[in-house]
Amino acid sequence: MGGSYDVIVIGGGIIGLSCGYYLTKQGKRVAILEAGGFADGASGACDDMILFQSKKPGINLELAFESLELYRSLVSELEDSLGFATYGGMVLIQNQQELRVMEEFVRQQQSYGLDVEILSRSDMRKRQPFLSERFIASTYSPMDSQAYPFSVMHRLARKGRELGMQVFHGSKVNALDRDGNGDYAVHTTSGHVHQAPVVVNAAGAWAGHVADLVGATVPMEPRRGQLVITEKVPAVGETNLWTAKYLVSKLKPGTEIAVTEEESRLGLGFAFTRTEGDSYLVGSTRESVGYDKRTTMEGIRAIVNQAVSILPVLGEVNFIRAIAGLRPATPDGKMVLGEHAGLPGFFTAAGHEGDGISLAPITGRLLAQMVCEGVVQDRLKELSPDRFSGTVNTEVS
Amino acid sequence: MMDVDDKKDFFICRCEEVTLREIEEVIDEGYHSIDDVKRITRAGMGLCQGRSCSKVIARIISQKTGMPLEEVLQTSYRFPVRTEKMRVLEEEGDSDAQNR
Amino acid sequence: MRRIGEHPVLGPLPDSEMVRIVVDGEPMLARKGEMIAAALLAAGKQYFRKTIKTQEPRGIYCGIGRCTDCVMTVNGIPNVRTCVTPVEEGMEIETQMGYGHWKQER
Repeated sequence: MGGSYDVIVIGGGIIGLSCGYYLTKQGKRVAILEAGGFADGASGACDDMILFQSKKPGINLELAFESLELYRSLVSELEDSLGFATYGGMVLIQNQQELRVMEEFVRQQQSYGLDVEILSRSDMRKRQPFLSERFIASTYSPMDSQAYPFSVMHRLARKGRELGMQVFHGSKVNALDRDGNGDYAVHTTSGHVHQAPVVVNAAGAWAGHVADLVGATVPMEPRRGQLVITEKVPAVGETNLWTAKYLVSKLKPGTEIAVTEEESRLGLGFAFTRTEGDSYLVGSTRESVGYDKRTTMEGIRAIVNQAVSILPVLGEVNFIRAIAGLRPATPDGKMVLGEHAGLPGFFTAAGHEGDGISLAPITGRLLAQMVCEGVVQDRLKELSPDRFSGTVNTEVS
Repeated sequence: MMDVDDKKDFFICRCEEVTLREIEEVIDEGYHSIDDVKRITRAGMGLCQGRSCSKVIARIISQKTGMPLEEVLQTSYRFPVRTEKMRVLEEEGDSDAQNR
Repeated sequence: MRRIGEHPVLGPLPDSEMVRIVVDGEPMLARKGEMIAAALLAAGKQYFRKTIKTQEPRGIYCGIGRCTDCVMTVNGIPNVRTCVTPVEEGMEIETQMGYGHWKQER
């Protein structure tokens, strides 16, 4: 038992749903196979940010701009606010060393067209009066935005289904064969076999395993990100917040930064964003613990203590939930997007790590273009899955 | 006592003010687990974290889909077991993140 | 709602030291050690807060500290469960509108 489709998308997270939606818009008959339930992967346990300031100038930043525009269109296409909002963002700087690195980074981002600047201490405090005294400056970009992942996913699924897309939950793919016509036969644990000439591997942290099923190579490592959710509170300052310390270590690895052993082990960074529900998401960790999705006392304690030291008023706020998501990380920090050489019709769209929410719309749109028009823009060639073929035991950064 | 004109306007999730109607619509769309309903409607995401509503939601799902209640009632429990002030986790000089 | 002055089995309500609390700016007396919610119900307070989405008035629901329906802003801290929080001398209790506010002086 099973169906015959134009495209089968493996993975029903925000990337899979976006791919399915944009393919369906182009007239394809699409089935999405999700192993779990709604938003069971990283898409259901992440923050909500569409963030420009954390993106290295280059393809990531470029795609982020385009994705933001697509979010605006999706609000009217999907007939829902999607929790889309632009509060801006600030990266908090606490010493001269960080300031120097951030000034250089801001210059690079400006040259790529990002509206961003460095704020003096007093301007910073105007926007964020509750900050700890130790911050000397910050960046500020009015462009940093957010969307509510659950709304985005729910509405992509709903509109897609209105247009004929099918979404199956509880359908884990356990085998992928090709038949004599070059079509793919996709087997699921529920005993069904679906067929299509095109398969899109949008399985996030599990994209490597899906690729293995068909003999392809997609090095993908899960990175656990823990987050804490507070009760609903009045707004704490105007913008979303991050700290330079973590960004600096990410952008300029090897820079001498005083990072404690705990911070290093947890990959602790500060992220602070107001949610659709008027509570705050406070994060986060970046841990290599395999597929362990549990939240830990150590992680929560580190996140909470960091937050209270940055915004002391949070000491009086209740936190009500902790969540953890397995974000898919590639060795070079760039997503995988494209058709595999030697496997016509087999595409991978995965590996966004912390940028899944930001880049979901543009990923879906570009993937649909590749599948439907057979065209790969030059600038996307660096995202091709073929960059990994022949690599064995690549060190994941 | 708070009566509603239409039964369907009754709040199942009191914390997030989610009505019976909203929950039934989501189940009708094909979402048949507590987690699915929670993620889409926010029922169970409020201050009491589903203590008051999740069993009722399970019952609604069971009634509408015919799934046995025990089967519907699997969801993940994470700490904090109850709400705690964030400053509760402060340790004097112990947590390095605090001293930065 | 009134306190039970004479219980058929447990006998009369014993005298108690009183503490002075302030509710929405109005001073009143409460029995030392009783829960805020009990004091407010005894004083005839109709509701403790109004919800965010629909401004629906809420008071006691479960009464055992589990449902968070009875929360109010106490001494400038929002979301305090009044059914399990005892009164204290000088406590300032406010009907919480939506998610409340906190004192910036902290």
